Amino acid sequence: MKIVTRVQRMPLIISFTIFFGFLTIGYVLVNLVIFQGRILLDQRVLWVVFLVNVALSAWLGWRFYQNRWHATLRYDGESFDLQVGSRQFSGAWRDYQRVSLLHLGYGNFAVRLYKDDEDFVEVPATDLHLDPSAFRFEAMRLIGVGAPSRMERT
Amino acid sequence: MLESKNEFLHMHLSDYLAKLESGLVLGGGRWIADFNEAFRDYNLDGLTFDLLVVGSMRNRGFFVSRFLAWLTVPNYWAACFVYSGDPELGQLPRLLRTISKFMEKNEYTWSWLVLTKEGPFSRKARSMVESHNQHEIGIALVDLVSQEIVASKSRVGRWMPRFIKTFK
Repeated sequence: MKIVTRVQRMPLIISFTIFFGFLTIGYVLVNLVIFQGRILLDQRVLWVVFLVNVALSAWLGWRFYQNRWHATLRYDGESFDLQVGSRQFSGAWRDYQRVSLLHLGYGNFAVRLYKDDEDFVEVPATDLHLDPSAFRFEAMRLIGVGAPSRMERT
Repeated sequence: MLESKNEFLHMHLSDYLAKLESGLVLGGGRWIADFNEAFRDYNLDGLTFDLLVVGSMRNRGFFVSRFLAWLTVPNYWAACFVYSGDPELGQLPRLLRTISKFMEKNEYTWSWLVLTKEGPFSRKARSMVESHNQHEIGIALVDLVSQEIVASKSRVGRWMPRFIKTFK
């Protein structure tokens, strides 16, 4: 079974920044409301608070990123298993009929696997650092649609 | 000698499809519609289209441009079909019927049909396309060897050469 997974830097930075921002605001508010600003005056405490804040944000950011964005695709010739954040899709290639390459904007691509016109699974090819066009042709080959000779030339 | 030079210069169908797909989705095609989904070897009523690219005329983008598009542009859907299996245009009426049915079923407003061939089209085929005047479907013949394009004179057809001329 082939496993494709990559850490997406931008979503990870976004989740880290969100938690770092909230925690910093939280520390400042606690300091002002409960301790009347006394803690912030102490340089050593400030450094400890900062390092704890960074460590906590990194841990929370990583958990949030994993729950929301992290994508993993496992597949072989028979079936695939896609996990995006906490959502999971499994399927057999033979259940799908059609493949499309979808531009999500800003150069991000996904490959859509259609069961019928309404029911489809979207594989985030760019997020998985796959070549979207090449993966589209591989999915077509696995599903068994299209003329192989034509696909191989592209 | 001349033949081998032509062989070197002319574009294969697979290269043209890749460039056309990229041109419509990421390149100049965005001026006419937000073509965002592409299918290869799309089967429709027993006909296999080499490429089908679909999209809406309303572009995406950030809040302001999306809002302006919502205010000013009708939400028309458009498609571009590419077919290479009919060099003599014997199946043209069937192709047009199939595309019309697809448009009606999926509520598409206009479509392009690009017919490709690695060589010149007959005079009859060219005149058939030039005389085609169905408003909602534009047809173009693309000779991949000479890189010549003949498009129908309808309103939708007249736009085509600018966007399907993706030889470089």
